Amino acid sequence: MTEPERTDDRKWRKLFTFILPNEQEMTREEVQAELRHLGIDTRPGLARVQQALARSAKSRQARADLEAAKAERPSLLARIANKSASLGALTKDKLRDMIEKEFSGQPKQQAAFFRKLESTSSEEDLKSLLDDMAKLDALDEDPGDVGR
Amino acid sequence: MVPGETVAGEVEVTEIANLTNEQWAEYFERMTLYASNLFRARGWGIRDNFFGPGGITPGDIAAEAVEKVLDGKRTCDPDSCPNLLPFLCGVVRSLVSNYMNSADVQRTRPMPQVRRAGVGDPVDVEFEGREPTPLENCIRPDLVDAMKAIATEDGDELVMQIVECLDNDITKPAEIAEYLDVDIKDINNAQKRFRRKAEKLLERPRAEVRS
Repeated sequence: MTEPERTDDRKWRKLFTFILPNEQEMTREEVQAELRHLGIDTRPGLARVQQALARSAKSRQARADLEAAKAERPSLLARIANKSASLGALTKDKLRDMIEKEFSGQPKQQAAFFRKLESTSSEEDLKSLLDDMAKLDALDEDPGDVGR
Repeated sequence: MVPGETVAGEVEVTEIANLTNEQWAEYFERMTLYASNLFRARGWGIRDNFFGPGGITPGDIAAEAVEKVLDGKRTCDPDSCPNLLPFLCGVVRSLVSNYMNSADVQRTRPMPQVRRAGVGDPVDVEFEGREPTPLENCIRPDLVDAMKAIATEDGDELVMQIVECLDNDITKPAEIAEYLDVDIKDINNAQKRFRRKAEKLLERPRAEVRS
């Protein structure tokens, strides 16, 4: 076979691309028919895509939950501070009830505050716990780390 | 989605977070078909037998591309590439290019279709004038020879006229039909006819194609 002319390769390249199916201008049914014609099984790849979508949705949900918790935390702390002021003498039981009620929808934060609460021994410690909460909130730290 | 309806070209990259699973399935199919075109251009297979380096398939490439986009490892620049499908196809091209470079760099032409505007950002090159398209650019030389041989030996006058139109940058079937003053169905039929002939030839072992 003689060495082909390379100078006119361009038009033959264009012919090659011209005869290939154009995925941008085909209906979905045409795309699926062409894939079947080519003997390409899309099921394994589609399963990977579905898994990736599930991972992505889970990750988005986790980020949304975190943002919601961050947005809600200042108001919760404010409510605790207000209540503690109206409770008079601060006791462990009162604070435990407050944490249980105010953080019922936030198990991580609740558990962190309970741990801190268990390590306190005086009313000063309890007040200090409320101060810690306020300081941590000001520093925008995760309440899950409280007392660790 | 209504049968026959297509999402291609209608969705902007900024909508990527709002796609439904069904839309993703359709994009995956289109990306797989596009990957198969790149595979064919590289001589990595033909009907029922698509395998790239390491046994990778067009579906593997399309799935990997979707994973990278969803994981945020490939991000888009809406200014450079506003439509979603070209962006996703750009990611597919980039992955094929990586496999190509790792597999047979000595025998391949570069695929300059993607440049990076930033880390992990594949961006479509904007073509100026008569630059080859990404697909044209990565066709193996022996496949170009095969195209030429089929068209020449076949003596199909309409195909040869189409080749001349393509050479003059008249590339859309409707434009070609108008230029040649024939029905667009004739152009579409010639396209399919030649595609099937090319598939038969390309299904032969590579050494036979070259001889």
